[in-house]
Amino acid sequence: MSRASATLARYDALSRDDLRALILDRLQRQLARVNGCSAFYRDKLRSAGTRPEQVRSLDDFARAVPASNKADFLRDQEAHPPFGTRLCVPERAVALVNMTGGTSGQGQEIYGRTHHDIALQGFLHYLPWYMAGLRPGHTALNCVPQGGLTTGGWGPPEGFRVAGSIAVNAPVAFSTEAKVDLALRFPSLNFIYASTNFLHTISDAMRRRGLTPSQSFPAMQGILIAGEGYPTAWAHAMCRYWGCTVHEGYGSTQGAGFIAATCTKGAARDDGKPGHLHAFEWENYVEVIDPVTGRHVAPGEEGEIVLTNLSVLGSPVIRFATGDKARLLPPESCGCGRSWTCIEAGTISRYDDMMKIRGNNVWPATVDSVVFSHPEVAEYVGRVYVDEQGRTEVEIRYATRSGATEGEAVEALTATMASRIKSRTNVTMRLRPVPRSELPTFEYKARRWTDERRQGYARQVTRT
Amino acid sequence: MIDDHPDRARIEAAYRAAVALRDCADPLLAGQIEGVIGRLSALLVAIGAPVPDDALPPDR
Repeated sequence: MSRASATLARYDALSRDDLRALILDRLQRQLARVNGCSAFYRDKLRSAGTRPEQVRSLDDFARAVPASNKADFLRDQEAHPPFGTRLCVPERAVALVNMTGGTSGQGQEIYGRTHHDIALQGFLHYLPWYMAGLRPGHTALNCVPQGGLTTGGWGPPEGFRVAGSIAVNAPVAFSTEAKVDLALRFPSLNFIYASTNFLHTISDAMRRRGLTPSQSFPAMQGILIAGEGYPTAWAHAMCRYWGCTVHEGYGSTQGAGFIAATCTKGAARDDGKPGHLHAFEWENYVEVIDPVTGRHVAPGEEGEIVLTNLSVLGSPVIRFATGDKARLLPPESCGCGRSWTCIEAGTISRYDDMMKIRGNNVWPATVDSVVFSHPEVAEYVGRVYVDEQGRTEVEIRYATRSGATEGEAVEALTATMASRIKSRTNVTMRLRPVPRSELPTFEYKARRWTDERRQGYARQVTRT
Repeated sequence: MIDDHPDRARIEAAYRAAVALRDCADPLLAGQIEGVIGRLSALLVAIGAPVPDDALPPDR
């Protein structure tokens, strides 16, 4: 017999006022701690003329504590390598190093994780999976690349340990077909964790083989996707195809795991509207602010997610401006009864032009820096799309100044750029030389990239 | 504020017992002991308790 979680039930039952009181209590402790342990945050507070004890409400916090961003962290790290002065523990207490992906071209943020943080990271991965139906003893397939330096690589295996589940971590080097074969060896599979795109890809691979997931995996309890947006109709189609609820989680390295997730209603609501992501605010305080005014947006409006870790010890973030754009929803609009801050599912995007491609953060500026380091290139355009097999592909069409589209020199140029782009972004892109007349001329701001994945997902919906 | 979790007292007792293991002088076990303490402090946080003050390894 399945028992309910007393832990979650208590957070579920909190009124908005009680939840804010819990957040404030943890926030005040964390502020006092970082002020005592971190020169970075001490300087931040001092520069704003704020003492931690002056923060007596969440409004005080928003008013008196300045935000930080990636550039602040990178400057601090450069001046005080390797962790910067935002590290709040002695280096000997660091048990694991996490870094952001580095594909921004700006640099990688470094996070020192203590044993406590590693376990917390596992818990923050398990929390949304629990809400999606994963229970101790369940068999879970992890399709997200593991290991490396990122929180997204380390958190999930730790999350499965915290869950007490039977974890099947699909090797990074496995092809989609090999991952299908691996999944089929576990017909008792109960849960899948995958990027949005990979759920799309593996579904298409199953379909090509004539497999029906609801028959191959009759005990499937839920699927949780993360990392990329999607149309609600696609999520509905995935629910039908897999015979279970598809959920979404929103997380990041700065959040030390998942920050918010859908409730039992999932990513595709019965009314056809986008699902609701409920923020685990007692761990990561979530503010949604207007990036121009710095003020909190009203429900229904879009703003930037600003994060504060309330119980991370090693490298906590305090009012970190994520660059993630989200629509704030009133908590009561979900109907599940939780008072947690709500953001719209399926639509979180970036204020900058970062694209999430196969789990990698790719900025056009990174590709620009490679392509335009070759003076023989006149222009290029990039396209991210979903092919007929459901795979995410990236095509770059470029034109040379000489107009040449073939010959040894062009082949060598294509190969060099493809290799350098792969090395900088971790994404394989197909480069194709074309005549200059095939490419647009950008008179003002260059809009070189198009993302056609949503249309690709929509095509799959019509085939389902 | 949030009510106490029904198992909070037992988890705190386990945490205190784990912290007491720091007396063990065997360096082969020290990392594992800190790992257990870290897991239990994260468990306390998960149920709504504050981060314990002694969750980090002491100076040696």
